[in-house]
Amino acid sequence: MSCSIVSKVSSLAPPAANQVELVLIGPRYGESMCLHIGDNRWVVVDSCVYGPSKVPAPLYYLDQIGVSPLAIERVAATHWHDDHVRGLSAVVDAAQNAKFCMPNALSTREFATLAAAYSSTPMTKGVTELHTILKEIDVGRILMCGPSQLILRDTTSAGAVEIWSLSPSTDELRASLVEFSALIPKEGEPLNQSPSRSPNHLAMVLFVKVGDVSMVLGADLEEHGDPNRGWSAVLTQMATESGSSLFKIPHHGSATAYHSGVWSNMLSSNPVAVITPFHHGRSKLPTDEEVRRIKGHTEHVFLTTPQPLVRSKGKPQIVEDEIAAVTKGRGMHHEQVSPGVIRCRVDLASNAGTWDVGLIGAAVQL
Amino acid sequence: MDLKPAKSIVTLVVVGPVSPALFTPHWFKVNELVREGEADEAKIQVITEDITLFQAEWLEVDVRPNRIQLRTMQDAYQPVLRDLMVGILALMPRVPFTQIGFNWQNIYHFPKIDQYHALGHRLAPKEPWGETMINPGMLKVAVRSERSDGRRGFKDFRVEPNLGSTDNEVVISVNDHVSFDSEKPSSPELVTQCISEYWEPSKDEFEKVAATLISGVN
Amino acid sequence: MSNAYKLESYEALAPAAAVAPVLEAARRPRIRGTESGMHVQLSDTASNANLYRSHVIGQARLSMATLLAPEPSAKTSFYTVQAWEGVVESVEDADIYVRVVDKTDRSRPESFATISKDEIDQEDLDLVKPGAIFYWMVGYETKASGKKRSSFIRFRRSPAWTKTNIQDVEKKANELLNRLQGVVASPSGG
Repeated sequence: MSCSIVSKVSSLAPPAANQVELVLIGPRYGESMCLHIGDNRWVVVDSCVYGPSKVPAPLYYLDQIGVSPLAIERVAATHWHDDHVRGLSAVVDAAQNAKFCMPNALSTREFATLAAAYSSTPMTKGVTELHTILKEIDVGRILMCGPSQLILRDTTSAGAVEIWSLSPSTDELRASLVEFSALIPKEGEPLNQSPSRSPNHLAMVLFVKVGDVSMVLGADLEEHGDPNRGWSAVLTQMATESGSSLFKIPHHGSATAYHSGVWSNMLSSNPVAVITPFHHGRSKLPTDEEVRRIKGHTEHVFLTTPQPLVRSKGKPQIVEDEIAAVTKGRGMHHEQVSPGVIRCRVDLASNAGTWDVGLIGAAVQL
Repeated sequence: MDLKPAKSIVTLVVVGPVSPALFTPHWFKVNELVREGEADEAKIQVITEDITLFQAEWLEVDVRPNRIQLRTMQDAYQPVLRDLMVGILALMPRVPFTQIGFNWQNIYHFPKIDQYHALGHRLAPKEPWGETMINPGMLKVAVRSERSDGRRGFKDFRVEPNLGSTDNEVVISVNDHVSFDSEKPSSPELVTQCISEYWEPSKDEFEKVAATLISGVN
Repeated sequence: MSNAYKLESYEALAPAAAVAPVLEAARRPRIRGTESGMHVQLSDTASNANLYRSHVIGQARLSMATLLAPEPSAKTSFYTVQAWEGVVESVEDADIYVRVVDKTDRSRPESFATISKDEIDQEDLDLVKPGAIFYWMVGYETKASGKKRSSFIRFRRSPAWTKTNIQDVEKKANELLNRLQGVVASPSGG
């Protein structure tokens, strides 16, 4: 059994030196993870912001448990989409001891042109964040990642540590370059509009192993039935690895990110599965149907923020009347001020690889 | 006191060599800078080689050989005015614009005449002027502030009563001036970037100064 | 006396008479006269909303000290109670999914809403695309007929990408790539 305790966490405290911890933060829109590999050494994967203060979520969480950004050793951007990189430039800037890991496609001319074109687009920060990072970071801190790339190998009090990137594949890289080129603005198109979201070809899946425990952090990787892309390509190279007891569900539990082979070949039975929601336009993930499908594989399914939006209120009556008249549905909503956080902790010495799952704020077990 | 302005006006000025005759409502329309209806219904006062003046629903356009001036007296359209200037400059990539002026203006109606006079007494005490004057009253106070953003320029704040009004009206205004004279070549991209970046801080600072001035009156 | 300062009085003058002093003003250097006995060099970027009026009215030989605040020239005014700046997240059929920032109360978090395309002015419909910026204002509109509640949604009209813009982008991209040259793939052992 992968999960021994599920509890509500009322006060935050840092992990012990020999504990492995994965913290998943997920408001309505956005995702970020803080990974403790032992001895107060941390890895941050993606970033999001929430609330009026717009503090990057990973920095906020680490600050709450008394951890300095200087303890971060790796900052990874799994892909370039806005919901995974908001606030990332501030994280990279604060984590001065960290290498910055990104898919190698983000170092190409196509992406550099896209980033340069939209670097000052108002009200969207995804491409701007990466442009800022690439423009300002000491290039010695950059690590380009492709499939089967080792990001970190070391030993801590928690055990022998390895972190690998499993994607994107070479075919995905080629597909991404074609897409980037299509997104680059042409003469005559309106300025200052965001590039539209493209499929998640570039998502960088991470495989983390500490001692005997391993986890798969699925980013937003999708599957389209092509053996050289998506999860099929990952499974091809992971043929000899299996038994991960924690799975960060890819792409917010969408049907397009599901591959049964991941559950049968990469994960242990009944792993801990953690999900962040995604509410964008009409799209609301995870759907009930996909939750049922995931629960068919494991009973330990956790969601960071089940009700990410709350109704906005408190304006003068003329304004409330106007909102009711102009908007559809139930008016205007905003994100929950404190989104849910899922904290998964394992003490390899004593727990024999079973996870203690702490639910913070709005996080729930499904 | 916490008195909100009865009216807020912004005038955005960009200095550079232009041809006023170009800036017709039709030109605004074909370049999709404003809505068609607004351009079609614009009231033209004059369009010549030396000056263009016309008004649309929310907009006043005033172009001289050395400057473009856009003005709106409806605060809801202030960001639209900013976008319009950015759009105009984008159509003139070769023109060396050298200065920007953000001119913010708030007009306050004081409910009581005592409050109106209290502001004048506070900003321009009469004692230093001696006993010779008869019923002295403040006409205008102007204070210049330096810029804190590293750019050349200044911010001239002014307070003056509107003697043409019988509503105890006071006008607080600022000419927030940015100069790119020392930055050659000054591309329109630089200027439009500054317009976009400085717009809100400029307005916020003006509102803060105005609120401070007004709050000192009981 | 106050009527003499309104823009309408300028319009009432014969065109030639109206234009001549203004043209003269356009050609003069911007130095104000003798208020308080001091010459005050006006900034080149100061609003000249009063300037052309003053020269017109100067013909009437009125004291410059009385030429102060601009008179309202708009026949309609809009008093804003609430202002949002928003971005279109997605457009699906007739529904526009938007994210808005509260410009009136900046302590409020971003909000989300669904707006029907029916609420958008015909002339702005072509601008409704993902990533498009808009302004949503709620307040009171005052016309000659009186005051009433009003709101409007107006989309930003962005200039189009020009050849110069694209060349600038390519230059920035080259600068970025030059920086990244020599950055190797992640080595074994991290």
